[in-house]
Amino acid sequence: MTDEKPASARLKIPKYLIACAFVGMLIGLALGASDFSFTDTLDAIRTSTAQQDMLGIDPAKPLSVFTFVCALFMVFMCLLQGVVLIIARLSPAFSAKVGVEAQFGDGRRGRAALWRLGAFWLLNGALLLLLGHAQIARIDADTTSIVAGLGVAMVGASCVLAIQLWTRLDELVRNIWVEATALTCGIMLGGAMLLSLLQSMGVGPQITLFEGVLIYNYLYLVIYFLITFIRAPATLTDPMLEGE
Amino acid sequence: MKNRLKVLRAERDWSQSDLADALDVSRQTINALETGKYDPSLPLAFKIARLFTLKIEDIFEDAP
Repeated sequence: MTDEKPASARLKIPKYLIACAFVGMLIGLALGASDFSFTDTLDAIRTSTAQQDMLGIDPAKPLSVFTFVCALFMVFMCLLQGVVLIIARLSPAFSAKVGVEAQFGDGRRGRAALWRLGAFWLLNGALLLLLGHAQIARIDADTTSIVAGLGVAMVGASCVLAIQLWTRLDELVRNIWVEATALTCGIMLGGAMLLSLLQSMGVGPQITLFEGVLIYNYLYLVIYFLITFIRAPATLTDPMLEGE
Repeated sequence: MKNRLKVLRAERDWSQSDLADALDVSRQTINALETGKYDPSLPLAFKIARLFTLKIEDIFEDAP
């Protein structure tokens, strides 16, 4: 009983990557183009919603130092995680040294998941950088459309990687991942509804898309660590020695 | 859910790493299974049963 496919049945990685990037680019371009055609409409909406654009950016409200530092830290963590996982994929010795193989498995399937997981984290960091740049640089409406399209394309590529990871990740990691994501999305949905209610009453704070994504990332990390602590506490201590 | 995984592994003088390799899962999964913090999926339970040539109910016990 194995869900491994023969090597010949799989597309080669570079071709598949190019195909994913191409599909993501097409989706991004289509969304960006359709968005661009409605710029006039969006301008009207923006004028009527306290000068905010489609990313929720208010030119009158500067990015706080706290948000900036939090964003930098999160981007650093995403990029670091991505790089570590990709190096671990290339170097089994490094993988064993940092405990990656103990967490994700060092079988063929476990190792195949590593570069995808690394790419997933790099994409997440890149998305934060993109949205952060859009907020800090105060881009114009036309550029906003491109940023939105590019952001959607990156999320699309992340989804493709996530689907591939589903069949390759270690069973325990997969369960923790799903539990953490479901819980985070549920809390974020409740939070969004509460925020919407408060805003309709005129007391809720305005949150940009960038800030929303940042909050999601921090919430996900906290919940992921909590669930890992419950399910596999050894992951948070020393996976090399536990229970041997 | 209680299980006899640790005992069965010890009887064969296998490390967690050996068992993880045989089942194509991570050592963390084996550790979580042995400590009862995680219940395996049905395919993994069958895989474990086949590896030890036992029935699933001989390894796993549905504790109330």
